Amino acid sequence: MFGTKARSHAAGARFIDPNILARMDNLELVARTVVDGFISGLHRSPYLGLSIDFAEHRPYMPGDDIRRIDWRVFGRTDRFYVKEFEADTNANFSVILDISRSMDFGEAGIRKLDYAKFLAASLTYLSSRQRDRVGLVTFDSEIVDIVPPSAKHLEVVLHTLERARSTRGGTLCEALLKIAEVFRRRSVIVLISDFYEEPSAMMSAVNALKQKGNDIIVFHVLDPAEINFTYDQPLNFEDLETGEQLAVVPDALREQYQTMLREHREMIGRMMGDNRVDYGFFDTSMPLDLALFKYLSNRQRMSRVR
Amino acid sequence: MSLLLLAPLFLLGLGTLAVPVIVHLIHRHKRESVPFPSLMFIQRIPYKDVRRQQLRHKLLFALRCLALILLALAFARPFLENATEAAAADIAGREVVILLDRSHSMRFGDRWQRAVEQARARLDMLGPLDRATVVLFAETAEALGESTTDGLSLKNAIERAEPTAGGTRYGSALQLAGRILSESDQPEREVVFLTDFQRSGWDRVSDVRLPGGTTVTAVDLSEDETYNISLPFVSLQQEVLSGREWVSVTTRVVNGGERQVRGLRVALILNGQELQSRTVTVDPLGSTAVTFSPVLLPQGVSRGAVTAGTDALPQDNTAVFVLSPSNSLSALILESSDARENQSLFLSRALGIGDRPSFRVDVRPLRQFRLSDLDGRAVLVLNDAPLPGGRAGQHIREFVENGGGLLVVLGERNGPQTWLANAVDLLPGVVGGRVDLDRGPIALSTMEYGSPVFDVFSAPRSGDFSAAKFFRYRDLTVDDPQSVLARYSDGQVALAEKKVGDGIVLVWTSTADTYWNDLALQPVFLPFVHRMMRYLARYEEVRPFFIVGETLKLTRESPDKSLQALLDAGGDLVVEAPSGSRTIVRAGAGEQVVELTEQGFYEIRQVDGGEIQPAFVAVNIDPSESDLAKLDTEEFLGAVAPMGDEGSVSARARKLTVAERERRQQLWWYLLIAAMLILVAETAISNRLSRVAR
Repeated sequence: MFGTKARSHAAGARFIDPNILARMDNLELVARTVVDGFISGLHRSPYLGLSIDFAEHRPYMPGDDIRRIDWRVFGRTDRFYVKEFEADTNANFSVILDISRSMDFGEAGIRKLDYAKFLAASLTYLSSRQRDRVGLVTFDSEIVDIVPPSAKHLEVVLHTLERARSTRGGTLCEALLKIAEVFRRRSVIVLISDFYEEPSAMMSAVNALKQKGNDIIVFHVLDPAEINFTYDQPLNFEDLETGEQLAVVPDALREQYQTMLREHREMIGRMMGDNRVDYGFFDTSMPLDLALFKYLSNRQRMSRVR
Repeated sequence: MSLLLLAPLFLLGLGTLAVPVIVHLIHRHKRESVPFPSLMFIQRIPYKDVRRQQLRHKLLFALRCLALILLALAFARPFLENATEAAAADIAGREVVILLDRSHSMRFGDRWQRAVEQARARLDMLGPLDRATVVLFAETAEALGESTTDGLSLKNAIERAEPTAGGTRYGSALQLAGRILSESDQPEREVVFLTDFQRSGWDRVSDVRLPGGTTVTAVDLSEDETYNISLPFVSLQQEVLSGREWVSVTTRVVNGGERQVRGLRVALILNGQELQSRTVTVDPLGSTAVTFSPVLLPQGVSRGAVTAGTDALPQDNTAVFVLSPSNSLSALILESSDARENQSLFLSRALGIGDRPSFRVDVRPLRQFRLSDLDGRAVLVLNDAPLPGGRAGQHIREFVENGGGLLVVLGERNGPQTWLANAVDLLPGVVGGRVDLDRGPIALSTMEYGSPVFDVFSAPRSGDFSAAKFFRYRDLTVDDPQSVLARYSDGQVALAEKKVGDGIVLVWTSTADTYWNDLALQPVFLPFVHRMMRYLARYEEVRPFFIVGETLKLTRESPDKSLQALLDAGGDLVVEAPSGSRTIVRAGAGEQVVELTEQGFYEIRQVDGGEIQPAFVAVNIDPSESDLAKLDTEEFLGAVAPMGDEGSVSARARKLTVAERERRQQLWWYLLIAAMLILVAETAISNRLSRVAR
């Protein structure tokens, strides 16, 4: 529901292959690369946030809100200048990242966790440039790390993301209920996970966050191998979360598996929509720009609502 | 009834059954676990789908195993051991020997094709217990392998066989067949003759009879009427006229058919060019001689042929030959300084006549003898002259030791006092005094006809030595009586020989002119002198052609100058047969022999293509092979009829061997077919499963 539209919007953006980004050690560099490239592709001002503390003037650029032109300066200089304000943001932004063992999987060159990290870092970086307060929560079966939202926590968030490792199995619902208790101010929350949970149970946990007034965007990340189930030889499959093994003849199961997974995704998407939670699905071969589009469109929608 | 195996070791092949199981087990153990984010959905899929698939694979596995078991069992050659069958298994297999004539006469028309067809038909008639041997025979007989029940391999061997240019000799074939049959334990024996029953082959047969109980079947492949022209004889007469050598070629054309041949064109070909031709008429079963005009002999070795039309046996319509310039023998006659007038006249005149070989004679007083006078000489004659002393005497001794011939003619001046002590050992005995026959002349009475000097005189009316009168001779006391070649009627030595080194010394105890005898006036004098010279010079004529089956010695003593030159040059030689097949003759491998088995010209040349001219050897078909006169088959069968008690062998019986019982049942065929059917079924099921899986 999102992919096609987002791609058409992003036609001018530079698509960056996640596999190339995976070669960069520095997560900030990754985020900067993605975001700067993305923004320059948009040809519009990255500063969407509104503030009251004046900082400086800068020349008007196409795409700037004309309401922000300082007409006095124009009267004196006959040139258009826009007022810049200090970072006094209007939103809290937090990423809730699933780092359970199931996220430590990748057959397409990049693991889901790495892809999720890039996504989280890019969104955080983008939000930070928009003067939002940025925070992070990582979890598996428990909350692993919490970085409270703050205008100065960009580096902390990135550092926390950098050292996040998959070590245990996860239970999304329990962890989200606990996280819901952490967020006391209204925030824009991006939840990134592979969502191997029953949709109804998961929805109730997401609703716990939603009911606190948070705007929630859900990013569902899966590997292409999980989606297409492209194995051909009989294999022993080992559940990364539980360690359980199962001898499987993929040829015999593939069709049923794909059907079940598709129904699962559709169910999640439908339930999220019903609860006014924006839902985006990614496989790890998709460029990160699409996620940024999703996020920004959401922010714009929220801005208009306000 | 129990199941036995002829080749139980093949059951080891059942071990291959373990291979797929082992592979499966190894594969299963080694199969690595693939990490997967969650088995949430996989676990929800009903497990029975997997189970059903495994069951299908087990079916395929069972089929494959069954096919392997059947294959192994088939190769183990099983058979059922039936007590009653074993008891009743006294059987009567046959030992069949097929004698297939491949002599030259079998090339006539389609004889060979018919012989091969007959042989194949005979092999088709063999029962499962019969054994057979195919013997190809011409001059010699050769069995195509051991006695066998495998008729197919014999047929293949027959297909590869071809008739040869050799003659027919039934004796060798019968001997080999008799040996094969006598070594066989089969109760019944049979010999099948596939031949044209050529009479010439029977003439030479030895007294051979087949073992008792042998059935002889004769398949006559000859035709009722044959027409065959052949050239069994070619004569070459070389003579020197006006300093140039000419050759006259004479041939005899034989008509072996029963109708007259008119207008037959007979041609003389020399070095590939037809020089002359004659047209002749040959009566039925008759012959006619054809003489061509003398032709100038080309320089070097020439290849010639005479051809006479063509017929169903074309090979014998051509006779080939090699022409080479005559080799003259050089002789030096030394006589004493005070020799009688015309003392060497008779000798030199006798040697001046003749062209095979021609002689080149020089007469010289002893005092004029130079060492170089012996260069190129074959024979030295001391005609009533002693062996000179000093270097000359030593030189003559070395000449003899190196292969030269020395004829010592004793006489008035050549007595015991004239031979120095150090030269006496050259003579076969001690020279004594002069013997005067006052009572009357004597004659030569005893000649050693086995000697090359006298062998041509052995036949009646081929040389009368008794007419010669001897009035005087010198006494010669020989050390070895075997060295005496001729004696006078009084028992004293007339001619004696001695081998000195590689050479020969002959001592004639009377004079070589008419001073002490009148032999020089007798007709026999000339051939006698020629034979002595040829013997002393070890002269051999170059044979213009050989007959198929003969052998050619590659030796430096060969009279063929071109062959001598090749051998003297050293290095490897290649002998190329008329068919183009080549044989390498290694240098330094000693005297070697080439068997001449094909008609035409054999070429002998240096392997490395040296400058020395190649030598050619002409080979003709055995003339007796051209005589297609047929033998009376009944006479032949009677002559080779089995010997001994026929019934004693036929009554023998033997039990079936294990192999024979297995071959009778041939269960392996059924097992093999079953295995193939199972594999086909397995393939079909496997394909169907694959389609379902897709």
